[in-house]
Amino acid sequence: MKMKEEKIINFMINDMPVKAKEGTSVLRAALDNGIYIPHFCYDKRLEVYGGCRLCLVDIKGGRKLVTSCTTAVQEGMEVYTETPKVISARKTVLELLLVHHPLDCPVCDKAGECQLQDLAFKYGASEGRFSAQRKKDPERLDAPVVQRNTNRCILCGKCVKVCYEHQGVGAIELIGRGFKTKVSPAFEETLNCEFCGQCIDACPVGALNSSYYRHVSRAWYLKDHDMPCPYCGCGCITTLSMRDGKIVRAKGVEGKGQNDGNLCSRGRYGFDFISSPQRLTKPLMRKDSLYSNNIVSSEGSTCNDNPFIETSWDEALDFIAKKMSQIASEHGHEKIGAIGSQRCTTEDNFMLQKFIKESIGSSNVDSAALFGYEKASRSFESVFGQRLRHISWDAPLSADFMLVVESDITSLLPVWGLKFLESKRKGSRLVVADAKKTKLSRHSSSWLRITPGSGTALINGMINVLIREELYNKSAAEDVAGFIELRSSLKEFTPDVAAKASGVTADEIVNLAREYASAKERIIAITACASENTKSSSLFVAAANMAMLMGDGPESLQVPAEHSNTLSMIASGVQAGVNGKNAYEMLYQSNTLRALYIVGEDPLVMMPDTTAVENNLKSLDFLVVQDIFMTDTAKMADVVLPAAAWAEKEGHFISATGNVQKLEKICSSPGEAKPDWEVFSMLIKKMDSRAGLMSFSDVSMEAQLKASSFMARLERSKGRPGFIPVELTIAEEPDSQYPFRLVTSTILQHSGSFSMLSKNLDAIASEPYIQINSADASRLSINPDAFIEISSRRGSAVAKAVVSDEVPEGTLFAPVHFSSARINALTYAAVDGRVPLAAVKITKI
Amino acid sequence: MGVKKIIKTVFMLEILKGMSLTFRALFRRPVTRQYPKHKREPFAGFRGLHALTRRPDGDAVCVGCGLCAAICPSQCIKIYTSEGADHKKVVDRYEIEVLRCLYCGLCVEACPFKAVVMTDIYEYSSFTRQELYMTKDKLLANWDRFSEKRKKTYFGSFWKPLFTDFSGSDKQAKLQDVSKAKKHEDIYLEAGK
Repeated sequence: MKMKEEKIINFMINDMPVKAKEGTSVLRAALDNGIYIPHFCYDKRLEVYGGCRLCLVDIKGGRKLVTSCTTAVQEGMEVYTETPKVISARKTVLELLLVHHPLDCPVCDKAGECQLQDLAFKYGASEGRFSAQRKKDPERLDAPVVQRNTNRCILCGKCVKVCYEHQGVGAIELIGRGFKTKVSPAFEETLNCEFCGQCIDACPVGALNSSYYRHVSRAWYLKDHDMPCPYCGCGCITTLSMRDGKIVRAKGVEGKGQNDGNLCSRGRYGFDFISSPQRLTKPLMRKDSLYSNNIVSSEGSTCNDNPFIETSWDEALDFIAKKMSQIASEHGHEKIGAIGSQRCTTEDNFMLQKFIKESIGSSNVDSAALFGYEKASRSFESVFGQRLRHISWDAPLSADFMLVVESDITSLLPVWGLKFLESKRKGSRLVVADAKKTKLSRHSSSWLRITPGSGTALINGMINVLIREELYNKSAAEDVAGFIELRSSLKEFTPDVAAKASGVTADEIVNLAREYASAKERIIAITACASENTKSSSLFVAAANMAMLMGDGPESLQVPAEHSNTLSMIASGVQAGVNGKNAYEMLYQSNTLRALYIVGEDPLVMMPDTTAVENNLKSLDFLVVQDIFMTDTAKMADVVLPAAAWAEKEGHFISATGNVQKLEKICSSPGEAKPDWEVFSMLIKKMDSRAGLMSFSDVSMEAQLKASSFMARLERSKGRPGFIPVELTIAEEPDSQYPFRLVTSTILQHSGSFSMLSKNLDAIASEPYIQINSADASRLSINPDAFIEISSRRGSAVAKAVVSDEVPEGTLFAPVHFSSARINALTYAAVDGRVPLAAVKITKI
Repeated sequence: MGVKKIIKTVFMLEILKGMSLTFRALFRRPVTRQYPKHKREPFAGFRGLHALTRRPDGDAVCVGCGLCAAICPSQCIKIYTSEGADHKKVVDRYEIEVLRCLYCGLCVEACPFKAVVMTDIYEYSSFTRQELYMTKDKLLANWDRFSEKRKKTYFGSFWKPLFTDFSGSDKQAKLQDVSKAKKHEDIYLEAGK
């Protein structure tokens, strides 16, 4: 959608010349030019409401005062924001608000940053001429994380609008009439929403509060730091308030970062994982190795009576260096490998690959991104001839047609997902093809409920229609290599065939293809996440084929990087090279490795088919795990090293949009935990005493250089594009013995297994669960909240059943984060083009 | 040199004049107080050691609003609060680093609950800094020490706030506008009624 030429309006505010685009409100223009007009109900994300009557201004020549939020700027307008008339009107409005507002500022957590308090102080409306009964509603503290005190509410309605309009949830509403109006979920039930907390940041007074911040501190004790969020690839800026070296809360601040004040539940509530008591504080070694390393030798013993013993860094690192060189000399360098982390900083990953490649001489470095972003990136490269670039933050806004295939963007990259809702609100078409009912599908223009994993079939069917009806871009597509093959391979794949494979009707596919072709600016958005099992590389290839067929550039395919630092981890060299083994070979193929170094990753929870991983890890001679807490993987290790977490170390993140963002050290790490880069720099020194112990600035400079040159190469790289015909193959189809399909993914409130450390997120989503369709549940007579066991050919897990129509019949959905129910024990690890869906059965308990 | 001058010089008149004052002082009561034998009762409004007042049930009046800490120019007041068992606000720690305090008394003025006060206690020297780091318990003990000695009420009789009329913005926390506020005398008269 091309923006039409916008007229610039010249006018005056308080005798100061101001320029603004046509259609801007006076309030917006004033705020943009640094003139503050008080307001409660206005928010730039929302439709104007004009309810609080506080933004009244005087316009020269006007008969009455007008609300500046609803008045558009006009040429030659003369606006005055602080005339005696305006001030007296505002004072009256405040007086009327204070009639109901309780003066419990001493115990209200908003005091000090409360807009009502500030304005009452400014305009001096502290003693009212009116008297009325104050409300005495009980505080609602029953919901996790979000607390409501309706007595303090001034009914600006911003929370309701943010929740409904912007966030697309609509969990709260203004209920009741007149004096009894209050903000509440329907029927005054306990709040049960996605707990993004956007309402809390929107509230100008203390009516909505975070429970973890209740009575914790006063605003004037806090010092704010802006930091990129450690969770997903959005790279939102969270403003962390610190008191005495401890983070006490996180908030989004308008105008900061590309998220512009928006945060999701992880960003707003997940920061407290760093202060978890489960954090590792000292290096741990097995008792036996500790003794053999010194003088004492011990008898052969099993794992159980070989517990971890706390040791010193020096001893642990000496042992690792000794063991690594021993294995390298006995079995060869290529028998040592390492798994990097998508959450560690650029510097950490850079030092990891430097240690493995230079000090050990092996090139086996990879990460879990192989099952996620790398998979997408390589598929993309094979078609477009260039690697996947970072996403564009505003891509959904500039598109008038958005196709989202089997991707729950609002759960994986929640803040970027809001852009899709916003674009839809502004009139674009949003088509979601997904088996599961997601927030996006609820808000879509049309939702195609396809069979899980059949996205490839849907797109191939669309390509068939595009070619048959000659809707594709002939001049651009026909010269590209492989066009003939693509055409002939999909000749038989008519919408009817595609409909059969994907579970939607042929008409829907034809209409979708026509709609897709007729759009001016179209994007396809697909997430690439290691824990999602409905996608294979073939989906990305098919999507790339279709985009190229329409003559669209690579930017029409928006595949976001999954985690906070996925992009820079790859850029800093943590990816399987030509000679190196990838994560699949290292973790799933037996006898590939003798020693493995895992940094900030928990393959035993987060990677598919954990039984295979477990067996493989058991067969290793030596396993080092470096993490912030005792993960399931760490429990199998020979040496566990405590790492400093986000906010405890300096470094850089590259978000999915390609923003390089700096991390500050604002907290001290628990015990002796050290930043990962420092551990590697010490290890490098241990392996080769001539190698210098590098300072952070050296490491950072070198790592940044490497990452930025990689990113620059991405921009320039231009291989030969070519269509690659693909077809849908599913690894495991349901049969009579295992009749259900298991779909796994991450959920909105969690990320990986480390978010379990966060008490706040745990309060929202603490238990593993298995979603089952109500028809299936009644057929198998499974009651809601009953425990069920699901098992596949590889393993089983027990969790609570959640009966919900979010999943279609014959399909189960389970989040993978919870180590108490290891869902990934059931899943299938496939790195070829097959969709790694697993067939499972249910056993009642 | 005049005759007068000669007489003055010969009879040492100026010295005698000076000495007369000295002799007179010999028979007067001495003005020097023999501290610590004799201690002077501080006047009302004296800004001495801080204290936290008690509620009738014995606990501190303080609700932990933190206004005293906000206004403190030397930032020597630290308050740590948390959520109590019944979701009420609980003041866990209330600390004043007395050695950094400059005794301006703004904390007392700022307190909406008359919880933090300044007593007439001025003898609290110590050999360690730690002893002068006032915790909540110590501050409550200070109040006990003060209220034991002074049976009179604190506000109005000992502490004289600059003004107590907070209606209207022109009077809110603006000390320069004292002229418009009620006079001290009026307040005491009212208090006495």
